[in-house]
Amino acid sequence: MGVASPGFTSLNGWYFMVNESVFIILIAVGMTVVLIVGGIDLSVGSGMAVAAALSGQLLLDGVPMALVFVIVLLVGVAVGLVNGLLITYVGIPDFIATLAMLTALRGVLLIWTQGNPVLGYVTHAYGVIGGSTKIAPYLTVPMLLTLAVAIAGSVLLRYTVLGRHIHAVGGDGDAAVLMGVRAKRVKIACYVISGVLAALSGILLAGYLSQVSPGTTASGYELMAVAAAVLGGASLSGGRGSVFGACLGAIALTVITNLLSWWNVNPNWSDVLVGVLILLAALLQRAGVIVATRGGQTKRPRLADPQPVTRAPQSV
Amino acid sequence: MTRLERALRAHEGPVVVAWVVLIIVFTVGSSHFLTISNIDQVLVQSLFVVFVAIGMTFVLTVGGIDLSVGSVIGLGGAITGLLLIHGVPAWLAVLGGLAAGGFTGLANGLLITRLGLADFIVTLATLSVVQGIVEVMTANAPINYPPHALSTLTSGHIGSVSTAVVYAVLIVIVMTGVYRFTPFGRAVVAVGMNPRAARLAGIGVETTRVRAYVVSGVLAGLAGVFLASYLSTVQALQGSGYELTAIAAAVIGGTSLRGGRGSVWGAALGALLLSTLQNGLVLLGLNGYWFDLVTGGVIALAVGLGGGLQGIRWIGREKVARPYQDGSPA
Repeated sequence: MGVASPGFTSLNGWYFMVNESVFIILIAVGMTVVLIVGGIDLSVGSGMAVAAALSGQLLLDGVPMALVFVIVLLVGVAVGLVNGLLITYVGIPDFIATLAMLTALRGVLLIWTQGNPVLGYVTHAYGVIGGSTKIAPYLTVPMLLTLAVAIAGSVLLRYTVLGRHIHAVGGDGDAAVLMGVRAKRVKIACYVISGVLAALSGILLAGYLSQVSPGTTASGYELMAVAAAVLGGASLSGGRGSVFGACLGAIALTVITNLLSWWNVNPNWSDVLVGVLILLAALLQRAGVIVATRGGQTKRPRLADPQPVTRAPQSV
Repeated sequence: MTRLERALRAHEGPVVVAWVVLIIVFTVGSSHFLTISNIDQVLVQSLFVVFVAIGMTFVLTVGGIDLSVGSVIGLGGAITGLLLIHGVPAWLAVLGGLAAGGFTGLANGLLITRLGLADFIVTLATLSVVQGIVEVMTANAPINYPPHALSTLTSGHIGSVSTAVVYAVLIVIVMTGVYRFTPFGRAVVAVGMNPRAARLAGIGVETTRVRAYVVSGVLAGLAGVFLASYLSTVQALQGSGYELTAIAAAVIGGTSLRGGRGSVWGAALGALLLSTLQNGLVLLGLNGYWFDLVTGGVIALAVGLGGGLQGIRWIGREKVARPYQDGSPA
């Protein structure tokens, strides 16, 4: 690799890729939390775009930067809260509720901006926050923030009561309820975490890009985040996932997309390679799972059984 | 339980109610809405999603999910277009497009069942792979196949109805039949409900899952061919995003994401609902930017309403919910 492309061995190349991948890492951490609790959050792509555009517009309107960030993060909380309430109290499946939110948020953004890009809001300070300006060699603010978020996420999932509850609800919702876990609240909390991280990622992205296009900014990021989380060991059926793994997954996806341009291969092939590598990574992960359980009783993931109809505890 | 009550509580109930409400609103709001030419236009614009959503219904029912269809639409159109450019007869070119879709479905199904990988991840990967292949194949330039080669598919008319609508109705009828009355269709439902029970009953679980993905691939290819005919050109990304719309249409139409339950005509109606919405909003004078927002609301409403209608107990009757006695399939 290093021989074929000088960029790949240079610190500059890695700096560029890590700086690019922080936006995916942030939403992948949120996605991991949601996947562990047994949900999925497809709304994060549009959530990022709305946060980015809102940050830019409020700055243009002369609102102080700190206040802008607080407002945008609160919007992220609200989005997550609505997702969570739709899922737990209205009873809409996770996939559909957040898909509706994905579509609706993009719509709100398009109506509000009338399709016009938001630009001209970037100041030097915002450039520093967004990571387009370094604060030290090979170091940007988003990198530090992302590192902090990743550590906080790991600690939350491993060492806090909420974290244990998230695993419990994702592992077996009914059992968790019987144990006294307030499953609905736990699930709502997960969607709020994901919403806030999407808003944070959007704030940083606006500073990095210096322009927000309502129709295209962060479009499709939701599937990248799911792919990153799953590559990092999260299970789509809940109960399992790793923040650290999700970070590696997000970096791997960014590396893949950048590799081909360094190799001067026709960029049209990059989609093919991304797909093949997602498959390979999934295979490796699967092989790892098989090896890990070889000694004892082999645990094969059960195919989804339907919920028993007779007893119908209000599952999440 | 009255007939009306039973109809409302069918899984297709919400989409029918939502669609009728929309039609009433748009008819009152615009005198142009309920004209033959406009209805025909709505139907033609919906049929691409109709095809994909029908295939998605099979995959969702069997307990899977197919994210690759968005690229397969591009693949079906591109293969057909390229074959036409090379002088292949139109019927053979269309078959080529369908075969390409079926092959993608086969690959999805085999990767999922033989290697034991998650449906979501495999089809997300093939979404990317197939999109890349189409981009390479078309060199990111539109394929302008010989004009009128496919025009009979979407531009022909029988009376005042487009031939495309006739094809779509045929497909809906045939696929409803396949889903409800053939051994394969029954196997799809059985595997989705309880794979182990299905296996014990002698159903080839893996084979059924692979076949469901092939059905989805072929129908996505078909949607690609029709889209190529409708737009009279093929671009690599012209099916991009259809995967989520198709899933939304299928779920609005009463298909469960957990598998074991679905409705082919419900999915078709779900797609029609989204198309009606898009058309009606423009007629009401709202600009296109409103479509996404209203679509999101309708998806949430239709599915939320579904939960609500399931729970309705008509006043004065059946106040106590008794499992197995409320007429709904247990």
